[in-house]
Amino acid sequence: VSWLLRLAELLGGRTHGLVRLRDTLSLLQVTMAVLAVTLAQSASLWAVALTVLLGTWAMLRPLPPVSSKLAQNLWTAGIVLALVYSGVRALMFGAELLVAGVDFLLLMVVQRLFNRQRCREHMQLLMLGAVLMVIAAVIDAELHYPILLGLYLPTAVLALIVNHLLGEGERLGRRVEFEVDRYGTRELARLGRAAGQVALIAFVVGLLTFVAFPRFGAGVFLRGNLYGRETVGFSDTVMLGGFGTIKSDATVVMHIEVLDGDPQAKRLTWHLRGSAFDSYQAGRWARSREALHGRLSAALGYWLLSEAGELPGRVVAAPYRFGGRSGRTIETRSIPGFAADDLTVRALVTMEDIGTDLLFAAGRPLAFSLAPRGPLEERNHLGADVDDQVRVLDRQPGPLQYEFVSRIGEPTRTELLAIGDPAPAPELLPYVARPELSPEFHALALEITEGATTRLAKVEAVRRYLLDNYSYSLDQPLSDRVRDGEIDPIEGFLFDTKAGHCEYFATAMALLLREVDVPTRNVNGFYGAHYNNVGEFYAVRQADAHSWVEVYFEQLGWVTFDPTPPSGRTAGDDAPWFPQLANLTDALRDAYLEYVIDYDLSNQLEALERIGVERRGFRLHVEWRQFAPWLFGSVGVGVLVWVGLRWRRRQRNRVAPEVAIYQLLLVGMARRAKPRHEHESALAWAKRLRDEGAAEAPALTEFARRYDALRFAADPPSPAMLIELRTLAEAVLGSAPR
Amino acid sequence: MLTARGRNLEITKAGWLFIVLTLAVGFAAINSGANLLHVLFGCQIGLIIASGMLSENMVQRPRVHRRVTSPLHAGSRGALSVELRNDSERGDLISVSVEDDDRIDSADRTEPVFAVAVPSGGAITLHTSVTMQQRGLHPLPKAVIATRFPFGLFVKRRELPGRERVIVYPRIHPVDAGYLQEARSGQGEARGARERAGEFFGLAEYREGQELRRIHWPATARRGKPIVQEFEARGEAERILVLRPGKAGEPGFEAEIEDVASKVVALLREGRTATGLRYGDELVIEPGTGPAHERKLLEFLALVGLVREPLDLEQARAQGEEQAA
Repeated sequence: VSWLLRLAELLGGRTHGLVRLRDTLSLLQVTMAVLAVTLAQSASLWAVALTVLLGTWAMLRPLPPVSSKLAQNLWTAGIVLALVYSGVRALMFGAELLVAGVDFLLLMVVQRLFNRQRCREHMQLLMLGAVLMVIAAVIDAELHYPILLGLYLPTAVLALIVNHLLGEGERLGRRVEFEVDRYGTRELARLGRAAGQVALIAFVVGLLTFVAFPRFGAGVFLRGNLYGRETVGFSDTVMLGGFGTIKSDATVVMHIEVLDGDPQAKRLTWHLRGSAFDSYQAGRWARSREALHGRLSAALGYWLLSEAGELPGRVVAAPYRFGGRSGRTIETRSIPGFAADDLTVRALVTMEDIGTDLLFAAGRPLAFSLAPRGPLEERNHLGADVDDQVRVLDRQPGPLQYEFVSRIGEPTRTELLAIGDPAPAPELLPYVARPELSPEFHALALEITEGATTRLAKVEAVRRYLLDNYSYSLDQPLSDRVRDGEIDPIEGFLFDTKAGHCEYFATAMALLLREVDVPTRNVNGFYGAHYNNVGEFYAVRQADAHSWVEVYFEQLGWVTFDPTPPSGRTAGDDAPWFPQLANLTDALRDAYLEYVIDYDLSNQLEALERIGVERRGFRLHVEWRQFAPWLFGSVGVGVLVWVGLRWRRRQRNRVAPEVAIYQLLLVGMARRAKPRHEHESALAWAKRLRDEGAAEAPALTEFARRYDALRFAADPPSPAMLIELRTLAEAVLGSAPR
Repeated sequence: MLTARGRNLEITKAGWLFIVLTLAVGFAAINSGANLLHVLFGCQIGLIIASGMLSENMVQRPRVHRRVTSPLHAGSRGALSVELRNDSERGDLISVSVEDDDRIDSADRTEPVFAVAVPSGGAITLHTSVTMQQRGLHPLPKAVIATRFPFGLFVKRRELPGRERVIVYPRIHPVDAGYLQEARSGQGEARGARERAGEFFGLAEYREGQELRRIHWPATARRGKPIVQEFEARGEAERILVLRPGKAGEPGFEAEIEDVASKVVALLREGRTATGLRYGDELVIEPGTGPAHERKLLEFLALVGLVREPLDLEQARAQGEEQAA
């Protein structure tokens, strides 16, 4: 506890003793609570900054013994004004009600810090801290919350204990106040231990409640952050250059678990497609009304995305959330001229709230299954958008978990060549629409594809041209002509800077191909995934955000082509700093989300079934052969813990062996009606008995001398010495008849 | 207030707030199914359970012994010592108080005492005062061990088993100085003995203001607290007070008892008049002086006219001896 006292000296303002410690603890617990709501993004930054500033002032200024009437009135007026302001903010200016409420609570915290003379104010500070922690628990699904809670709990408990003791002093007068301060300062370690034990009990009960309390949530409150992180590239329109800003961000946005097989690869090379665009104008991709609309059909827990107006296949097994890892669940339809049309992958994705309602899937998505957010919640409706994009229709804040089945088989070169170079069908006209670019751009397209007689040849020519003549750069250099508005950014890339990142390469390829009537669309998503060997899943980072092109090949459908140089496609395989630590953090976070945040009624029932308790209708059936080992095991562990604690207590209270011998002698002599008086030492006792002429006196004198020598020696007595002492004790008891 | 098995539990204002917060979190947890809210709800329930366990330890551990340490007259405050002994080997006794049981409506009051801590195996003696309204042999006001430990959210009380009986001397009032003057110059032989010159009477606990030379050092060493010798000193004059027979509760009789008791105290504390008592025609107490004699007279006046059981008499005697010690 010495560190706590040092901290109290530092933070406890100008008070002293236990009062200073209480100030420090109140400040610490409320700091943790404010940190929790701040990290949960449920407080305005200005309110937090103001709270920190004013809180620091409150702790540093000399605290008056009693608040003046004027100060009290001013604070009351301030609180009323803040309340009105919060109401106006929330109701008239559309601020989040919760954020306005938390901001108001922060002001209350400041007010209490300025007027913390009595135990009542500290109790209110503790209550405010508790309310803020509850709010953070509702909002925050991140790993830092349990860490903060783990620190908050013992701090708040110790603060409660100290505050209670000082409160008793306040209640019973200055004499008790003085005694409380003296005891509290002297026995702080003991109080700290008591707080630790209470916090442990609270934690254990919290854990039991978490594990065993049935979840019947109706979902009025929401899990996860109110505000998802906005990620560029997945909104309705996308400006060129946005990805450059996130290519160095190692934040994990997606966890992928492959369900129908183990790829055993350190890195996946899937293109996880999310948004697609057909219309380009002045450096901006968008979607036109004429773009191809998709269709979704429900079947056996899946939403199937139609391909060329047909179902992509037949569902043969239920998705993961119903059927677990049952292997292949969809038999794909056969596509003439496409040998690898049945090469599919099935994966479970946990996606962070990155501010989009799009679902991402590898290759060509065939089916999705979205996990509902709670046992009674059925919000798992999906909708098909244009260009094979699939969206969650009632997207709520917080992470998502879904399963996708995708075709990752790609047509061979021969199969693609077989398509030839047909004229685009009328419904594909939006995909060959040319933006208003310079004649040089058209000329370049013709020059690159000169001699190409098939669609594939044109695609390959453009791709090769880009790979050979342009370099990858995240710097997003803009030429002077682009800055002056003379040419389009993509022309600046092609003719002036000749360097850019994936969006420039993909856009250039898509637009150049459109110049020669090849239907293309721009696709944004993520490329690849890094294997986390600690958590055994694949992690997709912000930095993996990528852009590529899909080209239409008649009955083979849309085929992916990636013109970005390989060095620019992949983010570093690991986080930039301490990769193994980053893996561990990701794995911990993944486990936290899976086992803590997403723990629900089905997990509880599953756990019960594992130990032999099964739900049959409204009754529970116990399979005793399965349940008995768990029952006896738990009882056994309980007994072991009890025995261990008892043994520890005995060890702690064990008397020294020489004292045990002395105690036996005391009992023996008491039976002979010659007891030692309370105030007597062994020698004084022997002397008194000698004066009284007792027969035991000489032997007792000898014993007393030996006992004193052993009892107060620097080293513990040897076994031989103890035997000698025991013999002397027996001599005392044997020196006279009973 | 909840009462069961000799305990009663009162919830403080902060406790109500905490319970409301816990219920709100519980409701939110059940309603939303949010796991972290379940954890918090469990933690809050855990805090309530831990609070109950600790407060139960605090009210269960102490053994309490109350003792009146000064003459206790009806209607005025007498000194009361409260010994709190923590026999438990498992931990300190923290933040406990011994106070009157509020549920019993009585005019007799004891000022509460509060102990910040009593170490394991240790004891602490706290001093307070008691006020009793009726003379006689009465139990001390019903007391409870109370604690708000550890959080001040709940007040838990345990009824103390048994109630120590004390002799309450009659109410006294100031006596006219002229009466004392008259008593001093009245009949009786003047012996002129100093206080210590009398016959040895016994030992008693040292009280503020007594002569240090009267401390009995061997007894002080044995008991671990200062003990003084008391002597039967004789007064300079002799006075026999007369009390007419009556029954307890009769206003006239009670008033006469109070008057006689006041004179006894005034005369004997002045120390120069040997005082005796005649009850009706019978000289029930021979004239004498000194604190022991004063106690003898006051005990008689405390119990006179009351319907008593033999057991009460013995207890009263034992109590008187204890008070004397």
